[in-house]
Amino acid sequence: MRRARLHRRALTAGVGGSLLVLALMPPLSAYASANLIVNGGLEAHDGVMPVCWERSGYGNNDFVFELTDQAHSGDVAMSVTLTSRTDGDRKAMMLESASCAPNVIPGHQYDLSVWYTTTTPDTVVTMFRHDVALGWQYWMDLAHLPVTSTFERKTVRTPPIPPNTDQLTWGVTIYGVGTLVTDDYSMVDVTLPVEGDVCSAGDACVEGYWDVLPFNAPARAMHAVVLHNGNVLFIAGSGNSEELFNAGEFRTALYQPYTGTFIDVPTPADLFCSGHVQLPNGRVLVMGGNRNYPSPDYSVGYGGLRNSYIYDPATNAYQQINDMIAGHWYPSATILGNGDVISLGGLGEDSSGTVIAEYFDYSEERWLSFPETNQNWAFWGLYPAMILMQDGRLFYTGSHVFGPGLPGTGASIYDYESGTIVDVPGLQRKDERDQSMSVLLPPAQDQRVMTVGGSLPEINPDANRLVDIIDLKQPNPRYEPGPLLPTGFLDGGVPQTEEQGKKYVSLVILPDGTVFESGGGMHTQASPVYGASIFDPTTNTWTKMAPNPTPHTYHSVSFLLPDGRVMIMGNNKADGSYDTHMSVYSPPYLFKGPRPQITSIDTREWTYGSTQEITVDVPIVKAALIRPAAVTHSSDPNQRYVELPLSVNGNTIGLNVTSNPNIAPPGWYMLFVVNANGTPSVAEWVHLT
Amino acid sequence: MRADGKVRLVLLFVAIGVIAAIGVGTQFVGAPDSDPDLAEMGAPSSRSAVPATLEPAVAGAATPSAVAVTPAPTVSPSTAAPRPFVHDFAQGGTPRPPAPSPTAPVPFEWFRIDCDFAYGVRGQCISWSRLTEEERAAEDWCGYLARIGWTSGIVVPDGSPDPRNLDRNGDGVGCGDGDIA
Repeated sequence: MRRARLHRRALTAGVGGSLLVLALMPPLSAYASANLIVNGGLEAHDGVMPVCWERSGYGNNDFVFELTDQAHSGDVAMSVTLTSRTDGDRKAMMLESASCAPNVIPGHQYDLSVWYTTTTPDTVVTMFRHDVALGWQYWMDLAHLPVTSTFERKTVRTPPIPPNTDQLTWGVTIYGVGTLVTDDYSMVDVTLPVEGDVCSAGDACVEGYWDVLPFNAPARAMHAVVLHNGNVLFIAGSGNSEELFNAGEFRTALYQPYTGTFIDVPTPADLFCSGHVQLPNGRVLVMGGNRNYPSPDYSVGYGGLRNSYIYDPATNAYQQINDMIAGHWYPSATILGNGDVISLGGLGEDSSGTVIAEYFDYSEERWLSFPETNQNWAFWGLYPAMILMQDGRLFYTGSHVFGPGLPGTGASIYDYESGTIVDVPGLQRKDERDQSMSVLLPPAQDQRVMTVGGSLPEINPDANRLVDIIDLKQPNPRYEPGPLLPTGFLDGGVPQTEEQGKKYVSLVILPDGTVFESGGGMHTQASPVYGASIFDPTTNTWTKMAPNPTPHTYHSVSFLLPDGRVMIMGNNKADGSYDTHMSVYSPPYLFKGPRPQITSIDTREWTYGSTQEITVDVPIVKAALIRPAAVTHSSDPNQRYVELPLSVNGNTIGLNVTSNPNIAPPGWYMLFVVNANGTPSVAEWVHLT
Repeated sequence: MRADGKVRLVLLFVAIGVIAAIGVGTQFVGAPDSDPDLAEMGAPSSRSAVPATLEPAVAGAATPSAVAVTPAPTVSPSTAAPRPFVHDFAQGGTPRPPAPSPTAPVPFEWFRIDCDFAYGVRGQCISWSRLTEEERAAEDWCGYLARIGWTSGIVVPDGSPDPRNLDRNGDGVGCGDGDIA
């Protein structure tokens, strides 16, 4: 122990002395003065580590940090070897100190560059940022380094630096057995100039613009699934009409946005109140639905179907597959990183709560039988919002439909493999989140979830304005109150009071990494709210937008179109009628000058941990994958925005794809790029597997 | 990598290993299984600095001029795609006790939804929670229904107890023309 203390003192003295040496050294010849890295060439060292660098990492693994003369330039490079690994990682990181960590400016972007060799592909550039209020925070993993035995250079661009950030550190993480050697680190400010105010569209410049389409949906479209061919599947089933149910009239319509036309799709069962999710191949898995309407005295309520179907966009038809174990009316549907699907909750065939966890095996294209599944007998309520976490567990956000006071209220983390449930605190008024909505905030790598609005169905008070945000990166995550939802207007232009909010609210992720909310109502199937706003996850603030011109309460849906606009539709009123009008919102980013274009794409078949090449017509600042919507009842737990850090070479852009399929489950995604004005391109479809 | 490349690489590693074996260079070896400091690690940021208690494995090597030659890796190079990089986030908390296998259906209490199913057809929701104080005091149910949009009356299903006596003429429509005095 004494030896250790002596060693630390010697190291401290060594760092101080070496910093002095650094100050007296001529500029490193490898880089221009714009390089923000202190001792990026690693030539100043104390024999243990380069000055301004430290050993980092965690977990069960055996490792070796050392200096090596196998350098890219100069005499020294850094080597990190994992000789065995159970879990965790190791990395040489820049010191988190005022003199060593590069200073950065919010909103700016930086090209990070490193020369390296590696014997393992399990390496990734990792960043931390210094938040002036919160201290040092993990920020993001940017790009993987392919195996190479000769020095290669990897350059990757940071996303715009978040507000309240004044310093950055980064390094290369190794998390597989092998040896990583790095040298000649560089960090250069490459911020693109903003063109300034180029909008001449009046109010639309700041609040966007709504169009009410001149035609209506042909069905009670309370389920909407955006397909990878750009069409939208509207599933109605009986559409909450007992008359249609008794007549056996079940509807599905395929909406073709580019022509404004609809195609009827034969519908094999009452898929009203089913669950749905896109599979890795782009087909749509539909599970459960409506087995029966309630008896007159409600001694028997709605019952759930066991049925399941796969809708194929190529044939525009449903195909029945094997039944689930139990019936489900209002089930969840969450795709996992391996392409399988977990479905939970809802009501069974007998109208009681379903405690059966259903597991769809994608490779076998079937629901597993009871003995093949892991059951923990939890009742999750109706349409429980189950969001896939980066480690494969599910986060139940506490957003649900109906069911005050049931076990299905509150929030928790569910591990299907072990069956364990860990409750998560902090959700405000957890029993009053009926018909709220949750979203995995952009980017998915940040692992934050926001839950908005809701009400208490039991006594039908005014819906609330509550917003709760949770950071699932924390060791013990808990919801924290977020900024209240902005108020809107009621019928007749009556402004909401400060206490009045929304249920049936819609949240849609936009290509610029913000979240658009609109629609909703204050009471059960009544009191529509006309109000919309955009949430910026980097500042945790709402900005009011133009209010939705049409009412959208119960059984409404909203989703992002591949052209960057947002569609909203549906309104099931208390008298049982259903508005089929459709409105489309153009956010302000569509009025800020020409849109960037993706002029070529190397391949649409993408793999995890890869760098995919595209070309663009103008410089861009960011790119992202957005999973297309599969939404109903204010529930779309698979909606996510996956950041694609850039490797920029003029107008040729390398897009660095996460290695973690739990961050971006396999399937078709909309690829957007965004220019310095914040204007997104039209999406290109890519297939990640 | 081609076979001859592999041979050259192996020879290189052997040569480097010999040099390393005679004690040239600096090595720091982590042994997490036996190191209590490391056992406490695993911070959520995944940044956790390696404790400074780690000591050089080669005595006398900690001098500014001591630089190791590249060690011999213990694994073969791979061209495979990276494995998923997963963080150890959100590992705290105590799991709920396991739930027993249910012996009875889990009831779902429809009466806890603010829709009065004594009135209307399925898909409709008659909520009395939005009555004004005046309407409630006057028991002006039909006036309330008209105010919120039910201007043509409301279906009173067969067998309904009609608790608010809206269908006084028994024609199956509450607050209809024949019901309002």
